[in-house]
Amino acid sequence: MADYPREFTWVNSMNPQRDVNLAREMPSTEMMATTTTVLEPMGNDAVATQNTIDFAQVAGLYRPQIFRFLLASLRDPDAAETLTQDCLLKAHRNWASFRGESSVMTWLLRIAINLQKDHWRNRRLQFWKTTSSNAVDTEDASQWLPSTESSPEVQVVARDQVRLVWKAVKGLSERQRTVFMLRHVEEMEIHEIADSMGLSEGTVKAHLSRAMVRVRAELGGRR
Amino acid sequence: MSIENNKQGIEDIEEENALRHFRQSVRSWSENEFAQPRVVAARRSAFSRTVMSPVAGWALACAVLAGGVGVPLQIHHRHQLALQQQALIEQQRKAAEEAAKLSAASAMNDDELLNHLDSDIAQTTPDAMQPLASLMNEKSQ
Repeated sequence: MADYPREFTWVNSMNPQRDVNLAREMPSTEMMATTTTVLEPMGNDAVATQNTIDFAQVAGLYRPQIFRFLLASLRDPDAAETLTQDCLLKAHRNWASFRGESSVMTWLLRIAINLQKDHWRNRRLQFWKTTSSNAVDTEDASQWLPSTESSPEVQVVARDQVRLVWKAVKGLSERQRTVFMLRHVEEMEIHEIADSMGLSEGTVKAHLSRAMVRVRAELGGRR
Repeated sequence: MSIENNKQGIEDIEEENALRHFRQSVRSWSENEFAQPRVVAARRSAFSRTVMSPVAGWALACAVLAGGVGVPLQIHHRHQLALQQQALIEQQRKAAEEAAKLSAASAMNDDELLNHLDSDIAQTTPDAMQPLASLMNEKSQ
């Protein structure tokens, strides 16, 4: 961030709200400093170039998170990677029109959620086509655990819990699953989830509540 | 009451642990997958995207369905029409044959009637008319 040309600050100043969001999400003192400086204007080509540099930083920052959300939702690494690329491509095309009314992450996630919906819709509609799906089974997905757990017993218990949560998640509706993932994997606030999904906070809470009932039932069945 | 509270508390802790493990598991899996090199399928051309799109697929399925049902129906309809026309021609032919037969029969009846009349005409002249008949015979000779 420190190597940004001085003109970059002028580009940012064209969209102050977006810059505030970017600055909040990229906690860099240079960023905070540059957003307040107004320098001489640039030509259209220079603005486009700077917008590209601007977007490249954003894409690098958020790509892993978008990929994680899509991977958790689809359980298909290839599809998640493809949709992440599509999401960033779409975001890049619309980057100039992003007004900063929501955070960058919320905006990117909204694009990702829409792409995910399209993906499922296409899968449902193309019933005649044998789509090559690399979706990982929930049993396999639950094998992943960070190696921080101390003992093998704790790891076994943790793996069992993860398996049960995956089992519950598999039975959720598309919307409930998205809300659940955003809340419990991405640790987003309710209002952020509502913004990303274009729903009211009440609706998000209702979906989350239903999802949690299912997860609790699954976990309770084990006890 | 306190036992219930304790039980609820334990369940909440277990739930929290399960969700924490789930989160860690997903993150671990995602980090691993993200680090792996992956070949992303090249974007298809605009033509193939159009052809392979669900809308085009549905349109094609509808066209096939319409063709599959409509074409046999059309063929059946045409076949029925041809049969009807053939039946009509056959009927007309039979009517013509009947008419010919009737006219032939009527012609034969006229001849028979004339013969019958000839045969019915008395050849012998009554006695009272004998002189007149002989005169006619003479005149004709």
